[in-house]
Amino acid sequence: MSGTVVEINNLVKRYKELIALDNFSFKISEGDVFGLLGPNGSGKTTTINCLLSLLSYDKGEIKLFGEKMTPSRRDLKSRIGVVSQNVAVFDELTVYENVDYFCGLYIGDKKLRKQYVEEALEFVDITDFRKFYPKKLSGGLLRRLNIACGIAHKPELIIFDEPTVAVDPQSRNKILEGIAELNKNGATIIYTSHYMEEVEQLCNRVLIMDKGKKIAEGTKDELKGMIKNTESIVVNVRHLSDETINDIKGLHHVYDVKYMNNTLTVKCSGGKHNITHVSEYFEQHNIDYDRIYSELPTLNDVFLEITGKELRDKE
Amino acid sequence: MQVFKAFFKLIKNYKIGLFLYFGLCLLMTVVVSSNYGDDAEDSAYSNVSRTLIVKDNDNSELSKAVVDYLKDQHDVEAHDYTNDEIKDLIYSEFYTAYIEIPKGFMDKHLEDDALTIKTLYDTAKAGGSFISLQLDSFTGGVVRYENAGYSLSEAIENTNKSIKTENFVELGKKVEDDNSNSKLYSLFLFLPYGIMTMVLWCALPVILRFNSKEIKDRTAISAILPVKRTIALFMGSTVVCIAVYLILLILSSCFLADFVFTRKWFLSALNLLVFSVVNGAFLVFFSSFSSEKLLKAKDMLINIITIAFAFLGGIFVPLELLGEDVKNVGRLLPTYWYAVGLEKIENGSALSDIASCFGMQAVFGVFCLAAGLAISRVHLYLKEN
Repeated sequence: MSGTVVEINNLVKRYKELIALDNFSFKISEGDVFGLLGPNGSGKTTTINCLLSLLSYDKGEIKLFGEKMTPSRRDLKSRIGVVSQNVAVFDELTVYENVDYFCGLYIGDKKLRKQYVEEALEFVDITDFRKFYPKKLSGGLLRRLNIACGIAHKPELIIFDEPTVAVDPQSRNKILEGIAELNKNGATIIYTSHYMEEVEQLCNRVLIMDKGKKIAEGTKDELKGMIKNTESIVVNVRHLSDETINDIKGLHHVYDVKYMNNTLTVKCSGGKHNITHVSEYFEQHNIDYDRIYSELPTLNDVFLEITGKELRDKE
Repeated sequence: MQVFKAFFKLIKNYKIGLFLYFGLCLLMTVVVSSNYGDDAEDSAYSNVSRTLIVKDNDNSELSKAVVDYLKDQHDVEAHDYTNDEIKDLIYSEFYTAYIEIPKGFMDKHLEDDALTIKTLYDTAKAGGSFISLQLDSFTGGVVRYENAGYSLSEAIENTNKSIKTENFVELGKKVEDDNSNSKLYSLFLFLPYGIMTMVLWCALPVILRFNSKEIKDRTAISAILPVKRTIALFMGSTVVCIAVYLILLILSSCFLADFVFTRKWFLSALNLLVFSVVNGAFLVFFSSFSSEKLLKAKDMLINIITIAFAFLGGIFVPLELLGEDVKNVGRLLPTYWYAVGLEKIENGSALSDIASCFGMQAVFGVFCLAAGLAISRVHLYLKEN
């Protein structure tokens, strides 16, 4: 059985009257890609900062690699890499010098450091830009440099704090592929984001938090299994009578029906072949429809059902 | 070591500013030095050569002797101006003094030995008083020679000889000595401005970069101890301060060859070293306000700070010319105590007096360090709460 890399027990962090973390607990096992999901202000960054000893906390305990984490635990810190939300590099140093500087905070040996820096540059595919200054790089390349600075020393635990904010889709994919590669190479990943698509794509375990509290935790399937909605059937159809809508509501496993803008959404809880049952109903009653399809619940649905609000602010 | 090395890699980006300010310091040194060299000659000469208006109403042997004597020493012109015009011309410094020898000057002298010459000059200026003293000296000399039994002609001749050959040679030497000492004073007086600008220009932006939130956080979560990072930054700043100090000391000493390794030079160099170290402490204090906004406004801030320190501290304007209120503000700054210390060194004051000025600078440095630490604590507290 794999060991526990991160263990947080009953963590409490207060900012005066505001409780940022309220008896917050979770564990991360070795090799996990752990997604920390939550809306803005839910306490994700506070959790990460407490984990890294950048912030003190009022109550609770944090263990990394089975040992208590304190600001002076250099041995533990040397096993962690952080890719922060904001790009933290020196504008005055070249790409190579930046990676070398941050790698040098962990690796003293010059020869080994040189090798690690080269590998990191290659990993994020910015070797061609080694002599460039950060100001000359595009947003995506800058993010990749930020990642190289965080992972160059080959940490066992890597924390990605919203690394894809304001990144174009192409660079985002590149970053996500890179993170998956790092995990494949043995690193344990903590990935915080409010982009549930990314978390769904990357993480094998997910924790959803809001207002400093854990709302749900588990694998993606476990989380989706926690909610009533297991399937949404969407039908593009014109002119539906109230009688028809009531009939559909009465179908087996259907618990909610909404009809808006010529779109019928049928929410089902459990059961199989729900889409067949709905389409058969339309055919039996000679109701023409344009399109019918089934949607499986997303993490956003999980969040929506548990908290009653969207995970991400509407843009 | 990594932080220390990166500190100097970052400084390379500010080398243009550093070279510009070094060039400015070099230029100021050359200008002060060369001006002072010219001044030495000018002031030695100007003490005895002024432009005067002399009106001889007596036209006697004695009055002619006085006029000849004055012509020997000064540029003498004869004009007929009204009293008000003369006052205006003296006030405007076209002339140093107006001298009028009254009619019957020699007759009166022969009757009762009295020699009354009307002089008009600006009492606030040293030049007029000097002319008056010269006249007294000449006429007094004539009277003394006559009293000793010489004829008027012999008395005039002997007075001319004694005044020309001895007094002014002595005076000339003394004036030259005074000016050379002031050259050391003048050169050292503006060096703090050079140190402040050069150090702030290259080291402050670098420290602000290291203290920017993202970089500081990334370093804080690394394997390097925060205290090691702080020491590395302090060491970097100190190396910069000392390097700039040595560069400026050597540069200024090149123009003060006669004074190197003298007591005054050592004390002045020590005064500058104290200031440099205090400047390092000020750097730590200033960098505790690290923020992106501050980093963006650094150019303007550095100019405001260095110029304000230089003005209030009596570097650009002599302390005597500063108003009492300005001086009171200046007393809070190290540049003021540096200038006062330098003045005491120049005047040959006791070591304890000079040391008290070093102490006042050190107090400012300690205050900066304490305030810098306090501000960091407050930042930490605000961040955590």
